[in-house]
Amino acid sequence: MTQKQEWGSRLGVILAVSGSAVGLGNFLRFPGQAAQNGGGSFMIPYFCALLLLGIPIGWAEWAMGRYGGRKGFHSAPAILGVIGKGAIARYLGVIGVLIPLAVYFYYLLIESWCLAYAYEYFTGGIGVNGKAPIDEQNRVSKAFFDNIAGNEFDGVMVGGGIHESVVFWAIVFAVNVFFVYRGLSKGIEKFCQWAMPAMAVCAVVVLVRVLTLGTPDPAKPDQNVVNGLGAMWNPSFEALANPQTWLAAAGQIFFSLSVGFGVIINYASYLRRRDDVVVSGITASSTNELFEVGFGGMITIPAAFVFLGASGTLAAVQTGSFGLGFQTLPVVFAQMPAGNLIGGIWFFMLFLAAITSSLSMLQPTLAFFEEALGVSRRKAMTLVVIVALAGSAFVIWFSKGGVARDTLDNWVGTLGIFVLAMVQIVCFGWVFGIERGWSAIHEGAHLKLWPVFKFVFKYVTPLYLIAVFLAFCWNNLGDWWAKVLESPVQQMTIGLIVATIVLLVIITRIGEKRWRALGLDLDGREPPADETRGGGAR
Amino acid sequence: MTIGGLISMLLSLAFVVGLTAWSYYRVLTAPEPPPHEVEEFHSA
Repeated sequence: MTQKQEWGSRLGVILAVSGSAVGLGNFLRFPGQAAQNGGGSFMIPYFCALLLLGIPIGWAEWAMGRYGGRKGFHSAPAILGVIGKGAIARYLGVIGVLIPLAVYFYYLLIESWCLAYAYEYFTGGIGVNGKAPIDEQNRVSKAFFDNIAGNEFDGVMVGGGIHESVVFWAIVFAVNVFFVYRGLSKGIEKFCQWAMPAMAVCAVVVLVRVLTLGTPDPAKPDQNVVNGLGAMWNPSFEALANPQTWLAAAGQIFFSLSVGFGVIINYASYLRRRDDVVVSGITASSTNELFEVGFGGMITIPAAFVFLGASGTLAAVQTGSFGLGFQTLPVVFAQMPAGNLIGGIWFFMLFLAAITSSLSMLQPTLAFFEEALGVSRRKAMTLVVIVALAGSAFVIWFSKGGVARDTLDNWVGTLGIFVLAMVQIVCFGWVFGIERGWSAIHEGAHLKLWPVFKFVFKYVTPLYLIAVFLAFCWNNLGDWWAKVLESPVQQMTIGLIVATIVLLVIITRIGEKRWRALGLDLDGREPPADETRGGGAR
Repeated sequence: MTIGGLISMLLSLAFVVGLTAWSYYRVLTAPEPPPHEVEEFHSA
């Protein structure tokens, strides 16, 4: 029905899924969350969430995606229609296209900041003088970030000449379109096979630099790298009694692994029938964890602690991921020997983490437009570019204080992920059926899951997810909605989200008619054709 | 850094490094699927 796409190798798809999962949150969000929620003891709820929430939902997505692919479908609406056996699941599957597309609207801009910072560092730095008073360093760093992010007022990034951010944004957008248009194996897979090892090398270089900092200022002997590691890892077990710690851990796992994002289900739809989704799923998850715990947990907080001390690090963590990454770390690099080089490597690594994620956000939309509208890859790509340009232009224009960006992140990039994950796990465990799901996971698998995971898929993961979702809504929704009522920019951003949903629903409706006319089993009433004609051993 | 901090750091690192190493070992040593399935795939 559409131009055939497939992965070149099993390692390629694993690196592509890992690349999608590893993003800025691994290096900036995780250490902040851990340090604020019990340090080393945070890892107990964190690993519980990994084993009971993240990895099971990931396996379900891998299995559902491959099953849908065997029926000739590659988009979340079509695949969830098959797994969920009907129109309700199919239209809820629209969220699986909305999330990567709407997150792309603002994520591309963040990706361009990383490239801009890397360029500045490799060509002399961002102007922070490590010998100046610390307040002056913070002021210069913040001013640079505010300029790059267009934080001062709306329209600043496109008014009064060509803004640096817009130049870098145009570059990264062109690179994204180029690699996605080249296709799965020649574009995304090839890029990730190069980018993931490069990211690991950059991370190792920065890690070695941080771990060999020692005690840079003899006048402050407490500010050394060992105490910096302590700031990150010293456990505070009383935090385990606080439900907020468990919520933060589950949230971190959830957002970090790219589950409920609409990407894995699309990527897995291009797998072969006998590919091993059990090992592929756990390998992609463990790669993400290596970057998050092994690098994110060892670099950011210790580096900040060594130069800024305990209070400075705490203040930096409380500014959030962007404050820590784009305002505080430049101050740290300014004081670090070979700081410009290390800063350049660090931001280039963040750029690689971001671009491997952004590539994965375009592909599900491209596949959806292709198969729902029945158009060529070129036409579908043109439509994707038009929609992505329109959404990104909105975020670029309404740049003041990052309000439009944060609104998209809250309502789509956070809330939407929870909703899609719940739809997926319910469809998988309860509508498709756990026995069929269990068979779908194990087809081609060289590793058999413990039977207890059947119980986990059907009961533990959905209940865990619902509990976390309710607690999350209780903590955030009232506040978010109050802000929407106060802010015209937030209201327009909600309008953008609604307009995007309407567009995707209309395209799903068109696709539904097309698929029926073609005689495809879009409600999942029959087994895949390769199964009925006995293609491949069971 | 306290002893508790050291232990939690080492255990966490050992877990993620061990899991990653084991996973990649399984991926790289698993046999490839039969070639004919590549041809049959996507023919639905």
